[in-house]
Amino acid sequence: MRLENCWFCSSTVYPGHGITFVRNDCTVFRFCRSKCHKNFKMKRNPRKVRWTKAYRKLAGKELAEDATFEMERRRNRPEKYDRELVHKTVKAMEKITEVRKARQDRFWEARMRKARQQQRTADVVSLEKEIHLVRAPGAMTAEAAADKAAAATKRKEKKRENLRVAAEPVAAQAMQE
Amino acid sequence: MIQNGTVLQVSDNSGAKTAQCINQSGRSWGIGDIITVAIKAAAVRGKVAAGSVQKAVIVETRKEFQRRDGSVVKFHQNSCVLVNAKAQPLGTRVLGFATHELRARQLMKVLSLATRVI
Repeated sequence: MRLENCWFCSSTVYPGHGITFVRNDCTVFRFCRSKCHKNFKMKRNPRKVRWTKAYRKLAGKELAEDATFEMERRRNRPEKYDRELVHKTVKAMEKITEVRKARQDRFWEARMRKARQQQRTADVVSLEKEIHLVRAPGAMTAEAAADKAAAATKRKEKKRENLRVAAEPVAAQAMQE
Repeated sequence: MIQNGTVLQVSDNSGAKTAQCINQSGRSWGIGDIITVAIKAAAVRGKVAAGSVQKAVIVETRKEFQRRDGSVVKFHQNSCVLVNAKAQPLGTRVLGFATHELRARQLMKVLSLATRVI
């Protein structure tokens, strides 16, 4: 049993999955699922299809060159079974996967740092340019005017209230007299 | 899915180029089956002449076949290797692919001649 990589998207093909296609020039293509197989039949170039690893590595969106990738070379010579060797290899595989993940995460972080800054400047520019989508141009002054008017009415109300309060004892006196 | 009338490529050096399946209609055959073929096109100084009737073993099919481990394999062409009545290949080399399915059909000689095995 051997875990191969899908020719189109580079994901692992596990036993029981996918199709192997052998071309007349004796190249063997392995596909992990019908999506990749159909894309291949459409003669699409995986380096131009955005969701494949081939594109992402080419476009610098993912860690492309690293020592941990070299360790996963294809070795065709069968090793004589040695229990210790198997144990060591399994441990090494786990460690290498850990290291590779950490490096990929770091690569992503570095890429996103620049992207976050870019996003922020783009947001500021778009806010200045497209504020009219949020508020009508005249609405700013209209709102200010409305606020003013509201404040004015409030003051008037308060004044009336004060006068009324002040006028009550006078009215009461007048009533008495 | 080779059936009566299917034209196959001959992938050995027996001289034949294309062969047509002339088995009885009704069923189809796959990799590892031995069928009767009529040679349609052959090299002039080959071991077999065009128009002769031979036995052949199917080595490649366009129709995908499944293995016990769940893997599915298919080829780009239908191909056969000419054999005699005792299932021994007529040619001395097998160009193209052979599959491990031949091992189960006691066609080790054909498998051993193949350089590319899948």
